[in-house]
Amino acid sequence: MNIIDPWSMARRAFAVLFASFMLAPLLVILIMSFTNEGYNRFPPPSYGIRWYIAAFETPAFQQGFLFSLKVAVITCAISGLIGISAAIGIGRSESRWVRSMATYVSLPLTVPNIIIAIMLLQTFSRLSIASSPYGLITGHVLVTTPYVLRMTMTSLETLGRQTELASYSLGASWFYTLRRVVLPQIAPGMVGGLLFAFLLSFDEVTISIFLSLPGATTLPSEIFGYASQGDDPLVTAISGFMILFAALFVLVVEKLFGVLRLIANEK
Amino acid sequence: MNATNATNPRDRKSEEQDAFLAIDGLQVKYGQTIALHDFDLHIKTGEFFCLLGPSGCGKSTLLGAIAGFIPTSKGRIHLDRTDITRLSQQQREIGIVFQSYALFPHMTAAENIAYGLKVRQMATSAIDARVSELLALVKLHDKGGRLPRQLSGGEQQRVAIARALAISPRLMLLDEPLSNLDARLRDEMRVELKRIQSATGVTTVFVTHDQEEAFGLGDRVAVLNHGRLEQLGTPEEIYRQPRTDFVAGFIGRANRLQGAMELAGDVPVFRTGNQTFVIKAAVPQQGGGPLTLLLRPEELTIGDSAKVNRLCGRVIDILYSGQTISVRVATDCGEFEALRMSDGQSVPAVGDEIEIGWDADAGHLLPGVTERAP
Repeated sequence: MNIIDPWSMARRAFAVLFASFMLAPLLVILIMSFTNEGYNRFPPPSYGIRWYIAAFETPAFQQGFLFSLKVAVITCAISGLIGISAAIGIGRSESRWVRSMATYVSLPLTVPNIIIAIMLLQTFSRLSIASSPYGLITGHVLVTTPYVLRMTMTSLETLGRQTELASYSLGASWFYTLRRVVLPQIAPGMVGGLLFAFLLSFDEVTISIFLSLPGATTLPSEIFGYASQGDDPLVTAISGFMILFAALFVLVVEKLFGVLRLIANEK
Repeated sequence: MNATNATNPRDRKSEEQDAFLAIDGLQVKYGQTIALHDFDLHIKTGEFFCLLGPSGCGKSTLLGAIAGFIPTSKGRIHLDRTDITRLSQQQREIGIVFQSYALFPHMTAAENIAYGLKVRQMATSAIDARVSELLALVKLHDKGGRLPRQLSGGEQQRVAIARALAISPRLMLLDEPLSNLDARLRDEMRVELKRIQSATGVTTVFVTHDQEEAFGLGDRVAVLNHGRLEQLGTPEEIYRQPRTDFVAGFIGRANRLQGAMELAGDVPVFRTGNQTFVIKAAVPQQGGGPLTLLLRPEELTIGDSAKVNRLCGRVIDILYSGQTISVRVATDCGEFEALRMSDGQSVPAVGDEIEIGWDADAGHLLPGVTERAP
């Protein structure tokens, strides 16, 4: 009964090609990063972790990683707060004018990051405020908040209003309803948005390069600085580290979140 | 047995005074569209009241206005003699069962039921007692620990009812609660709803587009169309004496004849074309104008020469539906549908020349010439 359907074969081939296209560059970097030689070549003649050790021992990368982590966590917290509150405000508004705000506040996404960077640099220097971390975090919040907003709003729209109305009819206040009924149900959208905000901030280069100050430089901007001086397995190794870190982060969130959902279900 | 029971001024007055839920001159607008026109309705204590109408007739709008979800632009709503028109939905203490049940998916059945009690900061022991009492009432004793998605549609429905009843609401609103259930469950839940309502005695307003549901459940039924009340009465009154053509067409099926009353000697007869029929039905007030004679399919007999009124015709279609057989007959006065029990006796075949007939006391007169009902 194995009839070969040309369309199903084509679909499978497309899926394989698409996945390769998306993942091959990452895979190549990862493989190359485990070279034992003093130069980049694919595939590497010998394997080892000496460049990872070297990267971890580079002070600029250590500081850059910790700084990036801090910036990403703060960005994630601020855009989470703004994005989620805005989504609830806009998503549940009766006014068409307010609802159209969702489009306007997403405008920073249409402006190239380099323009945002220059704008922030000028603004912060005029105000005599250190561009890093303040300008940097402002820039990251600008470009990540729309994601939190959109993903939370999508969750809210899918949720519909019925459970909220049911809660009100049972006497619950708006805030009680938000805490006990709405937020638990839109958690997937919120967590997704926050995850996006964190990763976008952690990986962001353009704004970081423009606004970084000595001693307050993100990891991607350190890598950029290092890579512009020449091709070196050290850069490949730190890039490999960033890929692994991001992947691990996504897995942990998914795992934690999945676990949380399971607990909620079994109770 | 008077279809126009609400038009007698004395009846109306006492009804308004007895009303537990009184809606007076209520108007709801969506932008420029009026969804509810100067609407009056008076519902008695402990009554099971049905709002019946097609989608878009305003029945759900009325429900939302009573619940406080939908702002009203004019008129007043009184519940137990207190004006609730401006009260927030939280303050109204009205239990609602939604079409989609709207259960909290992250809470168990018991937690769903306890929700309104927790909001009221009731003691935990009292909440537990009330929850098990309600689980017993809706026959879900052993399922309190399940999440909504682990329950069947009918069970979810019961949880939704128990949750709404938990707060001892002054009024229960049910918004098409049976429409998501399959036919067998729907019948079962109908019986259950009636049982639960009489066990608790809570005044209930039930919204539906299904005539059978409304008639099976409602002590009284209000038929709505285009944001207006078409007719209010017991199921029997509404079926036997529809007041408007819309009601006649929406409730069950009806054969219509256009004509006018006249006297043949001393006997009032209904004339349509060159035919006259003896009709005892009350003539609506509009003296002398055109009338529509309404005949329910089950009022018509086939091949019974003893009937006063008879019409010859040819069978054009026959439809079996288990219990009954519907026979469509083409006559000089148009097409008729007659209904008879499938009692094993011979049934005419398509193409047969037959005679349909009806008694003088069958039928019902409506004023005016009717448009075709939807």
